[in-house]
Amino acid sequence: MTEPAFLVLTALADQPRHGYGIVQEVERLSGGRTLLKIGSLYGVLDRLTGDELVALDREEVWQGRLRRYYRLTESGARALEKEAARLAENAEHARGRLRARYAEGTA
Amino acid sequence: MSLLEKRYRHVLRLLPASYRAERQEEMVNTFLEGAGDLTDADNPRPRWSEILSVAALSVRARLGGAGTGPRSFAWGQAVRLVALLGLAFHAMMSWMVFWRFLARYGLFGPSAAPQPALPAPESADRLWDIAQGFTALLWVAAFAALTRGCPRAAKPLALLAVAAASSDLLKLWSLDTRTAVTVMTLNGVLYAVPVLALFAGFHRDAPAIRRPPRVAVLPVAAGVLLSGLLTLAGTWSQQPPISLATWSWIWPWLDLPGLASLALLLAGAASIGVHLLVPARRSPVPAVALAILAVPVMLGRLVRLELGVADPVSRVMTAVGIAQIAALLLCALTLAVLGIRTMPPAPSPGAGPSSC
Repeated sequence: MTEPAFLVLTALADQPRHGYGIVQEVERLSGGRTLLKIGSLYGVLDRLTGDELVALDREEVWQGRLRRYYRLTESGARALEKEAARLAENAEHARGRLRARYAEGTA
Repeated sequence: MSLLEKRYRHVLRLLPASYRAERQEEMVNTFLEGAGDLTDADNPRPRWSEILSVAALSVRARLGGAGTGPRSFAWGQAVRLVALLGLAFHAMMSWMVFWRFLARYGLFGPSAAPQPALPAPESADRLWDIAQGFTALLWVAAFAALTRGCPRAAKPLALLAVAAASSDLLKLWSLDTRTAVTVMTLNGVLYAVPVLALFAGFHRDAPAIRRPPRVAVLPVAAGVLLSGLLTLAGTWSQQPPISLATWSWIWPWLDLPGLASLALLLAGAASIGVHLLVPARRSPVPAVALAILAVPVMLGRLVRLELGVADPVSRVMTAVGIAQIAALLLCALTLAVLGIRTMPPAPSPGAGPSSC
């Protein structure tokens, strides 16, 4: 799973969001490192909806313009959980190795 | 409608109509929400990064991977096949260049044609010559990376291969500008199409296919076989009595565009045969891919044509070249018609991207 896809799934984990809402949330979650362009956002959304990890939740008209809200599906939540566990395990391995390195005084 | 909205809608015209019909309003809203409170007085324009992201999305939507619409997927597969076949051909030809390089240094087999003298040992020219000899393997490496499911490695390797193949042009330019222009145009048309197809077709949504290792070495095997055949042909052509009249019909098939024409005509005939005789195996993918590849090969042959020659041998060679172009044109048109006819229908504008 790519980082943008992971961040989009994470952005949708707590509530459905529309396009710009996802862009803002991804920026916040990544500490400003990932600024999704609109073409990239919809490329990711196409892929995630194609894999049924994300689904259309509802449509709203806001200031005369269309807003589509997307939500995380059950399989999306499972995929996100699995990926988060994998990343956490990798991070834990890295932290363990670093602790050992510092304990041996080789820093 | 604000000026920025009008300009952004103009950018979105890069996307396929069916995609726009489904996504345009939503994308415009997302873009304008992020643009802030700009007014027409600010003369606002979409940033280049936004335009590039829409262009990249357009390529992915048109040359789709698995999970996209059948038409987009078929176009994607055709372009990916263009890259695969183009790289295979260049890998085969560059293996022959490598073979000749080894033969020049007396490391492997005899050389049929007279070779330029080797640069002085331990000189910078010698080192450069050896380095250049090994760059021929870049095409082989690019093809191997692609077939083993690593298009991200294949892309820089293919670019390096093009750069390496063009590195001698500067020297040639100073010696013989006309030949340099011919070689540059020939390289340009023959290299550009497969390399562009590699970059456009193998995007991040393209299906990752890892083929067996034997596929990766196929161009090397074909290159060895072809090298052997060309060496034999070279030896025969120099054996007395030398029949220039006979060889003038054969030589135009043995240079770079000639070999490409021969390969394409054989593959095109096979594809047309399958299409006409085995309806169950009809597919737009090989037909469209071969039709696309015929264009640079025709241009390549056109560049090498020597019109206005007087001697009978050259006139025959020119006539054979023109016949090649005519045959390629006929083959490409037939393949294009068959390919377009068997292409899955375009999604109706209301259908939108299949993944939604």
